[in-house]
Amino acid sequence: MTTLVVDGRERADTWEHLPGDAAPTGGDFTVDVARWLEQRDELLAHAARTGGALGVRLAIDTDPATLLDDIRHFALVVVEIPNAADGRFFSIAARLREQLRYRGELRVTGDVAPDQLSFMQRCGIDAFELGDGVDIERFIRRYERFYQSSGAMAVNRGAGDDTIRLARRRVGRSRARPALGEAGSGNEAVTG
Amino acid sequence: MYQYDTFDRQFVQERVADFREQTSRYLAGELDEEQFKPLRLMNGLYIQRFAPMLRVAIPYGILSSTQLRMLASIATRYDRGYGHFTTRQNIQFNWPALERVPDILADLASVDMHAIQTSGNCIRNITCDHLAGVSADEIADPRPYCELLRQWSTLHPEFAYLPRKFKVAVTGALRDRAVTEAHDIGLRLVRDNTGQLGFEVLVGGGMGRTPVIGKVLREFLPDRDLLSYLQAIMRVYNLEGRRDNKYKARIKILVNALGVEEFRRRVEAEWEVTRQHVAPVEPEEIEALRSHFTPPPYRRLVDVGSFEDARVTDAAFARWVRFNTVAHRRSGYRAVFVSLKAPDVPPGDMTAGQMLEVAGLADRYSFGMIRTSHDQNLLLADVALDDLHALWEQLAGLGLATPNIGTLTNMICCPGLDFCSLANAESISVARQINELFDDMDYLHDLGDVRIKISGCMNACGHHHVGHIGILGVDKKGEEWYQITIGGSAEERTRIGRRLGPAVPKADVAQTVAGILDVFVAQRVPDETFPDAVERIGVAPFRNRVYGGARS
Repeated sequence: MTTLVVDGRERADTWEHLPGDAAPTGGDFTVDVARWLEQRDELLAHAARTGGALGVRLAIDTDPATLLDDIRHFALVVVEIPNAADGRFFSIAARLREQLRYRGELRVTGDVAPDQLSFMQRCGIDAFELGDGVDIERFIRRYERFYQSSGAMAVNRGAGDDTIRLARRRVGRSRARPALGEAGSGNEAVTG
Repeated sequence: MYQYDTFDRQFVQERVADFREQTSRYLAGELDEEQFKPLRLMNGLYIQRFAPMLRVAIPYGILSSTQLRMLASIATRYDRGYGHFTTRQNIQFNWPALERVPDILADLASVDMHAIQTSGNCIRNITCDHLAGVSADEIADPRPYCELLRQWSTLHPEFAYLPRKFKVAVTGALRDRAVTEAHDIGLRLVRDNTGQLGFEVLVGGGMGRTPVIGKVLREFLPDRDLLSYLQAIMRVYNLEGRRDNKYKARIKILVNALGVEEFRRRVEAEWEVTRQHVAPVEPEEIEALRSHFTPPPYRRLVDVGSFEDARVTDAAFARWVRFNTVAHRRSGYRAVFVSLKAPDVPPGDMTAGQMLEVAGLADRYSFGMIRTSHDQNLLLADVALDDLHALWEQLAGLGLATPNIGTLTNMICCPGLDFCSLANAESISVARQINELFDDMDYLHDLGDVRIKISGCMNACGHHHVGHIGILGVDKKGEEWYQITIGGSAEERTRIGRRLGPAVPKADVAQTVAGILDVFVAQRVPDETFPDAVERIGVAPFRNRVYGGARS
């Protein structure tokens, strides 16, 4: 069994993840990219009729740019991770946030390694399907300091200025700058 | 050198705590070997032939005497009393116990060091010109940029699980001593015609099974755009680099498959995105970093006369000065190589006792700083001429003054089959064999700067492809044989060596080298380097000498 964690909190998965050509039953649902590209108009019409939200599932080798014109239709994007060592999903997530400016839920499933959770967050992933019994707090809190800014997180949180640093790029006294919310610990004054 | 602040210290200490916790989960069986592997690799820990091997980062090759003392202490307390300096300016310990590695990391953290990203499929230690800041041919000091890149690449969340390892080298000098053409990304500081500082960016160079010389990706990248541009390169590679075959997973394979023009087009397109999200490097940031690398307080008065006298009266000293020291941009000073290539010692190895003594010498003669070079020696970069004789005597007493820098026996050598689980053949014993045959210093000095590089397998940790004479260990039905290449170069212009002929048995390696050198000595023109001679006369004369006329 798995546990879904969204924005740091356990949640029941209210989405219906439709395999193959299975018909949606009326609520929020996801399809894979191939089906989306094939049945785009019918799926949009169905969602409009039922009022359900749309989501899409990406395989690890899907170029998110495929969805450039469609991303606004989705309230959920799921990236399937076949193997935690295959780090493409980090860049897929970054592209979804930075290039496609996607602001909905970005979820990972499959081989989700707890030790990678904070890295995933920095890349804009905000929902995780994890094995049961994982101490999520521990893993999410693990990395509080980063050397890199995160454009992906900035987009995700709706920051007006995407170049605002969520982490201090640590290079000098003059650069400490207040930034958003929880990244405060990354922005303490530079002591030299 | 760069001084850690509270942020850096806490960052490293937190990583030590993580690894302690991860190691205990592994030892308790909560993480299996497969799950633990990327975590330990991220912290420099390999499982080797006989024991784990821990590789410690020496960022762009700069160490304080305090840090070198800690390395000595670690070698004594957790290992067998020595360490091995690598071609990427790091140090390896070959015999630590897995359970104690978290303690070693904690000790390293206490002197602002770590082993983060010294292995695994991530951005490795940034390497640099070992004469940065002291050579006369420098356009700008590369070290502030190395530090910028160190910070940017350290646990970069997007690039911690790349298709394969990723190596970056930076030089700021006209002469490339950092081998930037043989790195995944090579950065060369240049000025454009308005005087603005930036980088020539090379991509896709590397050794390994498929040696490739890096290609120019961008002729001029303003320094303020460095991070957003690298972010774009890395993202394209992370998404498109091959993951189905680890021998084809380096960026050089992707660049070759796409062609550099198409690769460039993709990077430039990605850069349009990344530059909106990665803030430019502001001049004040660079200034702040530069302030960590200001010149040391050189003495105004140096007694040059006593140095010149000693050079006249003491031939052995004069020889050492000629071979093991190099010119300095500050008059009255020279940079001194501490040779880790004594004939009876594996290249790059150093005992804990030697480390402690060199730390003391650095304090006394070179502002407490030590550097590591990519050819596996140490440097004391700022020594006054009137201190040289005393320093030489003490180094000689430690076995660290073999006057062989810039000679044949300054060999680069990987650990080979003695330690490494990837190796096909021994490297160290081949180096020893060569040392035994070439023990005549006068011959070596007459021969000049012929560079031998030895790798125990095709992963090429000993950089054999770019050795003037490259020696590659291969396994033939359980026996160790050696493939010889000649004419490679890692200086001026990187060149890949050409095969001499069929592999030779282990016992014949040194004799084969001798035959090659005979041809060189007989046919060279004045001031001709070995690679230039090979380029001029071709491989055939060497091949004929070694194998006899029949094979040519």
